[in-house]
Amino acid sequence: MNASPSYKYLSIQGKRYIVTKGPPVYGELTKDGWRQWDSSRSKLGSILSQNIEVGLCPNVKVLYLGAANGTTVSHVADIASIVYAVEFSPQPMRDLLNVSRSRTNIIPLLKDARRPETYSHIVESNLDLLIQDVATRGQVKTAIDNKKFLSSTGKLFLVIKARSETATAPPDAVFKQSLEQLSKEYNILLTQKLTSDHKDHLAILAEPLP
Amino acid sequence: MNKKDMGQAWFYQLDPNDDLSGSVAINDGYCSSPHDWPSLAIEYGYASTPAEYYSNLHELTFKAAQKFASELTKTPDRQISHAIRTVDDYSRIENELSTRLSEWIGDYVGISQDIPSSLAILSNQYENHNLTEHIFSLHDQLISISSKREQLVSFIESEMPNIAPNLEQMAGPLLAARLISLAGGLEKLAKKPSGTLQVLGAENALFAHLRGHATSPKHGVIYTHEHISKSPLHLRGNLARAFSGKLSIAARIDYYSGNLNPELHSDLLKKIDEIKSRGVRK
Ligand SMILES: C[S@@+](CC[C@H](N)C(=O)[O-])C[C@H]1O[C@@H](n2cnc3c(N)ncnc32)[C@H](O)[C@@H]1O
Repeated sequence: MNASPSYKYLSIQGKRYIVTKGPPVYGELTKDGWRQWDSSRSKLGSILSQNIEVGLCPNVKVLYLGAANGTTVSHVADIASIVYAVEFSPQPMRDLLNVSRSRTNIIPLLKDARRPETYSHIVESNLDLLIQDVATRGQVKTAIDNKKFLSSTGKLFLVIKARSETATAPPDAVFKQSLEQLSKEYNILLTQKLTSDHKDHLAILAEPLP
Repeated sequence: MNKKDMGQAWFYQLDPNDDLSGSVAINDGYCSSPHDWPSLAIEYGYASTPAEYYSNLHELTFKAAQKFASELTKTPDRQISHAIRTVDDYSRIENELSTRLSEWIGDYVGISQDIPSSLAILSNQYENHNLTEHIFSLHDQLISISSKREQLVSFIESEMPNIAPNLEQMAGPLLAARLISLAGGLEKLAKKPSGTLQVLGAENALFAHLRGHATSPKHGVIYTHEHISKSPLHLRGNLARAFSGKLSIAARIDYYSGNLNPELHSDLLKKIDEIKSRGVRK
């Protein structure tokens, strides 16, 4: 389904970009079938372009929570073998459907990520990667509740948006509390604050505890 | 893997040619935990290879999402209005029930305690008592209503950036939803003059004023926003005018273009700072 090896770096119009191979989606630059992964529009793209590995490679199976209009999902699907893409809002889902028209390895699911039991009859177990970017309250709880889809060697890539948890507490306090809560169920491998395009977001890479 | 879970699989007893029941299986299905569905589907005879399995699943989930997404997106601002009204109804009911609960518990343990500790005392002292059963079930109701309310709030929070991105950014998701609901939809809100927007939701206060026991009719729901509620009293009129002016521009952009215009928000913040610093100097 996907001939592309993975993501790589490529110079387009004199600038170095991280790229994947697939049909263009959101007006990104392209060259020889490779498409720019715009890190100002994708938190995962921004992390990968800092040379951080999250375990996204060919043949992995992914559960993506908070798929939105499919900007990031489209790149993930260029690489992975299967992407279960959960989005609970009908509006962005329509764009996501357009993206998955040309990418049949996307399984679009109009579901609430806080209720994994409503898609456990579809999404398979033992997945390699859980990506979560929901930006609604209870982000850590959602990541914990969806742990059951991960294989014991799988990875979690979680983005925490501070403002989604509370408008009043300072972001660092939110992050600290989130990490404490998360480490009950996951072993935290790495945390990284996102750049100015994605202010007050923390990216976390973790693996499930047995 | 138990038999019961196999019966939950989305493909269980599914006729591959029946799209409608396929969509229903995708949308309404349920299972407590995931399984290796692709292998099970092959074992069960639903598909002969993983590729065939995934291709069927893709097609079916695509159709199911399309069907339900288009049903829901026909009138998003109406759905949001229902949601925010329900949130407000839930809050009102929660308040009433929790007052009732405290009073009722008070008869048993006195009114000085908070609810959780009172309930603890109650369950120790009055085990299997008929009346206390009712108190506990009232408490359960209250918890369940409040969790329903929280779910709806999250729904509104995630939906508003799609429905009215500028309003959402400037007013926050809940106030933005209230304005849309009070105006009777985003289109109507976009077409109202900002003076009307400023007093939206003041109707109740207005009636009270006409009956002669409230101060001013100008306090619409926008007064609940911290731009105004956390500012000195003598500035609130000015602030409310500035705020509603920008909100009504936001509503228009949201209705006609739907794109987020971050400048609008920074303009508003600047304007508010100006009013406040002028107010301080006075
Ligand atoms: C910040 S956006 C995700 C952007 C996307 N990850 C990208 O990079 O292209 C968050 C999305 O999560 C969705 N969302 C929020 N809460 C959700 C939930 N409980 N279940 C499913 N989707 C949710 C929102 O509707 C929104 O589209």
